[in-house]
Amino acid sequence: MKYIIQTTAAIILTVCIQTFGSPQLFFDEYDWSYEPQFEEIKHSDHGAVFLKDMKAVEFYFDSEYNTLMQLYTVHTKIQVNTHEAVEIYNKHYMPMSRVVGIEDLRVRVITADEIREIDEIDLKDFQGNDSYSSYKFFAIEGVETGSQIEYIYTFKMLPQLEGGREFFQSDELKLNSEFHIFCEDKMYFNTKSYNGLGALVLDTTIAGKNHYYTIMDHIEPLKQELYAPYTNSLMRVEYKLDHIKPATEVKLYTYEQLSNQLNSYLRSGLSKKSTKALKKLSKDLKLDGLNEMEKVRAVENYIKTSIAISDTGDDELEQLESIIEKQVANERGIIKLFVSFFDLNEVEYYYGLTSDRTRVVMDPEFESYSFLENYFFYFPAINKYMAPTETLYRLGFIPFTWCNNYGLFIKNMKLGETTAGIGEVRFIEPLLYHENQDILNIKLDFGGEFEEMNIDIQRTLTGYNATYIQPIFELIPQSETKIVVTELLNLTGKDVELKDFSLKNASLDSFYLKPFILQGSGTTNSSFYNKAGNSYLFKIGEVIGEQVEMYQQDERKLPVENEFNRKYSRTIRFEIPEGYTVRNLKDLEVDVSFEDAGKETMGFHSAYEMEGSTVTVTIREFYKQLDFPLEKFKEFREIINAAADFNKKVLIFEKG
Amino acid sequence: MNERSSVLLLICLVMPVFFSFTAPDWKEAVKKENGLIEEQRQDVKIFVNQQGNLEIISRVNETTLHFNDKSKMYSEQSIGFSETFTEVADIQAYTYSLSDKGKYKKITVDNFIVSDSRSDGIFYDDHKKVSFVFPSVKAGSKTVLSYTKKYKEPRLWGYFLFSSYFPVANSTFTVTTTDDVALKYVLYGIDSSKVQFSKEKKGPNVVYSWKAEQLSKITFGRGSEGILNAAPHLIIYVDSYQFNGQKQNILGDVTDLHDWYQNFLNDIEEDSVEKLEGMVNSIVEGKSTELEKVEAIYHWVQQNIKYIAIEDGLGGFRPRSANTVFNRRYGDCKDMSYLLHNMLNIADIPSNIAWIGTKSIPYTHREVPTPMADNHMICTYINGDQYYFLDATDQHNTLGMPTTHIQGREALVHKGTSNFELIDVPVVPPEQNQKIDSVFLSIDEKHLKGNGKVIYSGYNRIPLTNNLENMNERDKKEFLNAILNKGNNKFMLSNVMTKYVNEKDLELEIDYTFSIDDYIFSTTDEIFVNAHLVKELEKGIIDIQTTKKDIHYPYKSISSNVVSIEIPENFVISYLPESIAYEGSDFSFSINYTKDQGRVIMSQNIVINTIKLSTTQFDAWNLMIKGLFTAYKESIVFKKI
Repeated sequence: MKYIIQTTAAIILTVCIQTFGSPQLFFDEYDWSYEPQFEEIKHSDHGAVFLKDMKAVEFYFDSEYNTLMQLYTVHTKIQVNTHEAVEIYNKHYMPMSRVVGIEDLRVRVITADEIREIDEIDLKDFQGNDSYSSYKFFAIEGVETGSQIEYIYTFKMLPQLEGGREFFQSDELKLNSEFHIFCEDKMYFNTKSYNGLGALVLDTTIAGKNHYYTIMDHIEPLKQELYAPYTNSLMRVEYKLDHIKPATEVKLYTYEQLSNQLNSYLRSGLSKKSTKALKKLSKDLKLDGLNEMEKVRAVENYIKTSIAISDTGDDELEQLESIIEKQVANERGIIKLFVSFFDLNEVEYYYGLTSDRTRVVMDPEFESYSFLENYFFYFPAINKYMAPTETLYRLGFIPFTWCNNYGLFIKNMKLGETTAGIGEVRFIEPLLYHENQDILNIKLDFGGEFEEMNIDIQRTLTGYNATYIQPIFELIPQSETKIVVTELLNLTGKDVELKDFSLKNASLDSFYLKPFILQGSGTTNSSFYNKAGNSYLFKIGEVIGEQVEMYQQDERKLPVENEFNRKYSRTIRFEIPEGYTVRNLKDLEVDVSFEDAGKETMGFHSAYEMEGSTVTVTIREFYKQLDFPLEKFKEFREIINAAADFNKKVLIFEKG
Repeated sequence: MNERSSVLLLICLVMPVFFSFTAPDWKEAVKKENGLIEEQRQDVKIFVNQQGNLEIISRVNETTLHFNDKSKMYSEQSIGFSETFTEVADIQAYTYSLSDKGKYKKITVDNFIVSDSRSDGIFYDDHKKVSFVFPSVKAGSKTVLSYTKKYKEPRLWGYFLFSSYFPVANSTFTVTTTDDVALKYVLYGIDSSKVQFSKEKKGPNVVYSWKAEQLSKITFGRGSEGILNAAPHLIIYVDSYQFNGQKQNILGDVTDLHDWYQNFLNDIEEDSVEKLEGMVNSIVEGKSTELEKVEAIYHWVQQNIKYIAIEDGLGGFRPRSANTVFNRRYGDCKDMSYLLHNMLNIADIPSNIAWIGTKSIPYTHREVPTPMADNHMICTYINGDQYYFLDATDQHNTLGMPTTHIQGREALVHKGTSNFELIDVPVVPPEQNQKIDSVFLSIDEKHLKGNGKVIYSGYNRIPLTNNLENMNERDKKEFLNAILNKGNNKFMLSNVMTKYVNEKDLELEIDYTFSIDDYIFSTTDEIFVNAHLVKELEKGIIDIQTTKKDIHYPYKSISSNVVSIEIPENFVISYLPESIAYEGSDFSFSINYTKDQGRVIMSQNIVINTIKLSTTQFDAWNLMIKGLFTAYKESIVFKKI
């Protein structure tokens, strides 16, 4: 949440809290054991085992800073069983965002023979452009396989009241995980545990304090799986300050407050000079007389091709006058510029924020600023989204990891003389499958008696299928285009010399508007078919390119999540040479599909037709839904594998 | 569902800087670029100051013309420097922005941010960068950058890249100095006829100047080795200088370099080594020969000292004490080499420290007697007449083999004060790096079943044991399934057993049984089996039009695949492909089919007997690959009796 300004709530808090004395801090009391025992661990089949994973956040009034601050304590103990684990865990990195001081940092290494406390930690510093890209780190001495590494540290930080998050599960086994929040007994937090992490319990038995905590003595490792939501499936907690007694009804850090503050911020600083400049630019872009869609596209194209995005921390980067003159802005400056353009040209829009669902899905039931990472625009009149800071996306296409997710939608409302930002959580629908197509049109021709095979391939990519290539194609130097085209036509590594190839709509202004079309042809006498005595084996499946397979039968743990809905259409046409017959054309027929509530959700169909000696094979593969529960995994795998199986299809051409 | 292309991802990641072209007509080629560096120059002044020290100050100037709005992605730039050895000052950066009326307006940069900039693979060093953003970079804009760089250590000054990430119209490097300073220089990657050189006397000064024009953008192809191998450059260094009638040697020859380097070894403070002695004694206990002891100590360091490089200032040159490294259990190449040397010393075994350049450096110390010629340190040991090159940074390397990246390089071996030797590290012959995979197949209706044994030796075993050692059973099986995969992706391992994973000096052995569905093809009376379950070098064709540089291989190797197929009951062989071979001294292959007591045996052997394939060999190479392709096309046919 680096883009949102600290709100006034911290000030309210300070006023409320500083009247109380300073009770004993958890940080002062908590410590590691002074006589640690080397614990024999049963789980030696794991590369590493976390014997302790404790994190505590403590809010308190800091007399030095004269405001509410936060202490963040981490206590970790890891047993490293393999050399690889030693190499991973013999160094530790700590992000420095919000950190104002290190109150404590101790490290020791425990082996069966000795306890080595490290007297002088050689703390290294990486100073990035700002605190968000800065971190401190250290290497840990004396670690061998079988060692237990233990460290404990406490940072003094600017308080994170608007929304915090901690993950407790990873790909390592964890024993003794704990999470604590300590605060004044007037402060009340909203917390929510996910994916099986125990709910936080409020303990009010410490005088003057509220203590929220959860303890888990065993957390199984979770491994990554293909087509699965990983990070979002890990055990984690979200927390956020809700209210301060006695003002129970005054909710803090709400989306409502944020919407208002952001709304007025984005409209601040619009000077006469910048209004004039915007008017001139609007005129240059000929926005007058354009319809809503055209206006948005023109503004988007102008900003994304003219303004460089930088995060060097300069205030000028958010000031309209400077942005227009120097053509450099930071992300918030870019949003300001869009908003000013849209307001001036009377475009109806919502702007908003959402998370990346491949990390965490925004929870509509839990208000927290921690979900608000990426800015988007939504235009109700044309029902389209736009990603203002993503220069390789255009109207109608925001990164697919933002869709199929909730978002905070903010609308600027006129209320008499003033304006206000009204926020609302809504669902961002993903694009439908037919908007993301991949179409292959292949013509094959056997020269003579299989002396050679001519192949002509046309591939058409639309929507997200073109995201990886269309917007950057122009940037690929000419000498490399052949390599890229060869790859896209599934000919890499084949003994096919591309004789000629052509591209359509490969320029920046076509992307997401027109399909990206590649066409190429070539000849081979060794790829795609085998000789076997008097017969020829034509590996027809290989011409569609290698397909993702899920043949392994390991037990699946996670549900299915796709990147985007999509459709593949493939047509392969060839002529059977005179004097040959193909007996096994029937092998090409495949028909699998599944439905949900009477609607087809995914499928793979292939069939052939024969006219004279011309054979036409058509394949249709589609995924109309992004998520499937674990129970449906087998069905999903069947479709994925149907395509992978097709890739192995062989036709036999026999003489006579 | 299509596999996502790896080539595309690669291009997306590295494209802005690395891909490029060399067109015959430079001007035509430039038009297809996003911008052009009209002028890049460095003017260096070298003088002896009153204290008798050398002062080296370089002024850098660069003017870039941007052709289109795409070059906006170059608006964020930075100047890198090492905090210990250089100083950056007087930075001026501005854009001449082209207005609609065709007039230039100057907009200066006034926000410069200094931040850390870590080198790849280095845990900590003192590299920093000054970042800034050129405003208003668009079609027609010119960006201008100039700054001064001061070199505090003359031995760490001295190279100039003529080319850059854009094509360069004019590239100039000058040095202004006096007769008191003797310079040496050498050009790399550029024909000297393309560089205008002059040396002129101007008053009390001598001015050296190198100029080159119309340079293509720097390109990296596949199998290329670092920027020094890819970009034309000038290496320049101070041989010596005169002060008060005395000659001060800097880097006149390898002796000077060694004289400087040995200082870093002479003043390493060693505190008590009792614990280290105890460790050495326990490692060599029971080992009878010297070689066994060396092996045990080398393996202990490889195994137990983890690679963490901390290179701030002179820490980049001076090893830490043996005791420190031993206690920390981590270090970089210098630390490991120095520890090894000391441990061998404790065991009364003579050894030496050596500086060496890995193959990302295109010259030797003999050719370039400066720190530019090395980037690595090892420990050497002699047994009889055999030299051993101990590089503990590779955990899995065996004694008797250098690590792959120092093969064929030259080691500067420290033999004592002012005593050194230059030793060539051999390239390991292919016979020591083998993969021999033998499988026995039987056909069961539509399925193929088999059992196999594969042996990996030398460098071939290293990446495998590296992975296997750390994996649990589940991951191991998944990994081996991928490594042993053959036929198609329905290859399924049923049983697998690995032998000698931890015995570095033995061949890695893997015994396995498997099945492959949908691989063989049968009709009512015929079965077709392509015996090339593994199509080595299947992607080996080199595109001669686009590959303009030599291709480097990590090592020489031999790969053998033997496939023995049981003739199914009631079937006979109706077609057996012909045997075929390609002979060559640097690369060759042979494929043989034989019949033997109810079986058909296909044996294939591929030898790569070079670590560098030069561009002149590409045609011959492609001829070999085509030969392989032709062979791979052939299937064996069994017919029902």
